Amino acid sequence: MLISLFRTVLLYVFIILAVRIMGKRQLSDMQTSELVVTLVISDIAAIPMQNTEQPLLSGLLPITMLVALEIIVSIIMLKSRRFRKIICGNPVVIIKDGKILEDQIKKLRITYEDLYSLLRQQEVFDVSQIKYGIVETNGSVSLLKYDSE
Amino acid sequence: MKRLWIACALIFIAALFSVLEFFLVNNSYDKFSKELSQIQNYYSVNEFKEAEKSINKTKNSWKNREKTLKVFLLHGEVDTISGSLEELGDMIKQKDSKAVFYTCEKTKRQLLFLKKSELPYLENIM
Repeated sequence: MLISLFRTVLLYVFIILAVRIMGKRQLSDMQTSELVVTLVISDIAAIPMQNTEQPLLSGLLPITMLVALEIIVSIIMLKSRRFRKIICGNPVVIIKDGKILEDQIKKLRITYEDLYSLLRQQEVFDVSQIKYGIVETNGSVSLLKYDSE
Repeated sequence: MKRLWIACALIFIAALFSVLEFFLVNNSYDKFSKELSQIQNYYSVNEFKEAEKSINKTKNSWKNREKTLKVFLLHGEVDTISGSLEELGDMIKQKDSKAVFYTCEKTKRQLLFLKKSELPYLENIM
């Protein structure tokens, strides 16, 4: 148990360092790939924490590689729009001129209930108030209302 | 640019540890297989005292190497080989030739499996 305790402290410090090096602070700002990497890092770290048979390096080295790859991918995304499109996709217009674009929400596999919930969270209770509604690459919804023009 | 250097440094560190582990495991296989074969040779010419000296030397070397190997490998796998070497020591004291040869071969195979499981073959990666 003492070994688990020491490993937990070491891995905690290492993960904090890793997330700081990756450079994202808010969960909502993350792209999908970054969120996946963050979740994978936490899963990998849990293995040597719980299983003292596993060497600590079996957690630390994969996390190190993931952080390095994430930094490299983010730098390439900055330099190359095409690469960014491949990794993150494009924003998708789902509401135009006050009407929901059904084919687009079907492509995104968003239900009407989910969409209305997202709109309500942005204090919109009537779709006809929206000129454009766009699902961003990180999954958030941006709205351009008629009265803000 | 700074983060790119950080990424390169992290990759270098990860690669360094991986290469270190590769050479350590290979070297362990080569060294200890050779020593086990030497023990078998001593036994085949009935040099029991030499065999006993040799196994004690091998066990001490392994105890030192074991600590470093446990940093890189599953502890259970390393402990299995430690157990086999202790068993071999007992067999040699009992002067049981068949058991000595069997345990030597078994330990050599365990070392070989340890080495092979760390090689970057497709089946290991998958």
